[in-house]
Amino acid sequence: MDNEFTYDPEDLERLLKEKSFSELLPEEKAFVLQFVENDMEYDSMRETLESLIAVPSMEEAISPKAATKEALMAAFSAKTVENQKEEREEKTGFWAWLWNTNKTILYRPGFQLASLALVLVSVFYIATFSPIDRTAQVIKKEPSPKESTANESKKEERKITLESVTEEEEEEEEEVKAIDVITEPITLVSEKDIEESTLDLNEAPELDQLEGILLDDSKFEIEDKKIEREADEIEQIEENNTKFNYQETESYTEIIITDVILENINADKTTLIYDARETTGNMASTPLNKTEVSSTMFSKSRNSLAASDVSLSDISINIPIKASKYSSLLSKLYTAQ
Amino acid sequence: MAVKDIYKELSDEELMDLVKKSDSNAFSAIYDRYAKMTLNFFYKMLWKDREKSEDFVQDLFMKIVNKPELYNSSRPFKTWLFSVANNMCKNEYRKAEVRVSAAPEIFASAITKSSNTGDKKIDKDAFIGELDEALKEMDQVKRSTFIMRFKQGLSIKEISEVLECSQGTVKSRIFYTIKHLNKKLGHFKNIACLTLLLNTLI
Repeated sequence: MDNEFTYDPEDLERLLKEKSFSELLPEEKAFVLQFVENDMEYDSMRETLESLIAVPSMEEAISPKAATKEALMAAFSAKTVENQKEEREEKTGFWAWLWNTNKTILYRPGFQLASLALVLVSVFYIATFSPIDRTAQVIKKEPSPKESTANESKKEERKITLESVTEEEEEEEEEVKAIDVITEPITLVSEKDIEESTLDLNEAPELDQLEGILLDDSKFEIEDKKIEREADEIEQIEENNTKFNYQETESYTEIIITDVILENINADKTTLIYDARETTGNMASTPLNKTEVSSTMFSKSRNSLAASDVSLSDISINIPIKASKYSSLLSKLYTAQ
Repeated sequence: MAVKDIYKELSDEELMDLVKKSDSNAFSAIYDRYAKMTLNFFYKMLWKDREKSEDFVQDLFMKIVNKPELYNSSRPFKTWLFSVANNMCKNEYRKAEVRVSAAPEIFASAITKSSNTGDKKIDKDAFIGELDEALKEMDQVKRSTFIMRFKQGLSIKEISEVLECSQGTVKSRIFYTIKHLNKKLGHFKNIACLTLLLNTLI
């Protein structure tokens, strides 16, 4: 019974071929009956199997047509020719030269070219992208304490130079402003240039932006126009100032008119009575009580005017005052009237 | 000794190595060795359609012509060849299933016509006819297992390699196929005796 579990369906086929049910050993019968219902079915299967085995000899075997073999042999010959052609091309073509198998590997052009390309690529990579080399550059560019002191002194020298330039032009106040406007971006960029030596190249985009600013002329053009405008204004102011240079003491006199009375308005000489204050420079203002002002200081274009008809356009003021104060004086006069 | 005789003595694997080196004699020897066997395999698997079987044999050997490197010399050539042939049959069954689902009546009549080429004049022919019908009812795996085992004479090991399954599975399939055929062909009990008698007389 130990052999009971060694049987499998393969053994069933063997048993069916070799033994009838009556010829089976008891353990074989026990095994067989696990798969068949009874001895009748076993014997029936046995006969069927014998028939199935006999069938190939009963059946008429067919043979392939001769044409099939001819077609296959022709295809094989054609394929052989094609393969031989490819092999010839491989032996004589560019690839054969590149990878000449007759030479040792070191003398094959393909290997040599590949090695050269590898070296070039490596050198290019190291020169451009290597992080180790970049660090080295940064270290080289980082100034030592002595160097940094020297750099600082250079910066100071530079500042001093700029300041000296500004001092030379200090007399012309407004022009100094203009120079500041010009020098400001330049000094900024130059300082950043100094700092560039300690910059990490990873921050290259920022440098690019700075370069962009430097290369952008349009910004300087706008600044130039501003400077020109300011210079023109300064010039205009100076011209006005020079006109009043000879009356320097009066140039800062400001008359604040609070009340205006016109007398003898029909006469040739008109008297203007006004209540006003005189202010000189930054000195405290001194009130002036009603003062008669000679009509020579005022001229009338029309002979006959009613007091109400007198307008600012009819009166010309010859009081020497600073031009910049003229408009405010007139406005005050007009308000008082 | 003639050149062709030398090739006949070489193993399948040795011949295939020569085929890979474009040796036409080796290819011829391989063809002679397996053309008839594969043709009969296709013939039985493909509803006894002679023309289709011829075409399949040609296609099978064209694979060897075009891509002999597909064969791995570490594997027995016979099992590799039957694997390829069996896969070709599988593909054909798939196509047939599509055709049957598209036009079942036409396809059924074609199969019946092809399977009834033999006259049932005697029990032998009747037995073969009924066996064919019974095989048609089986699924493709059992049918190919049966044909390889009882008609092509492949061993259990070879069949397991062709079908890429265990030997136990092959044995089991064969047993249940015999059991199924016994129910279908049980009334032909004297066919074996008849065959033995015919063989003795011939």
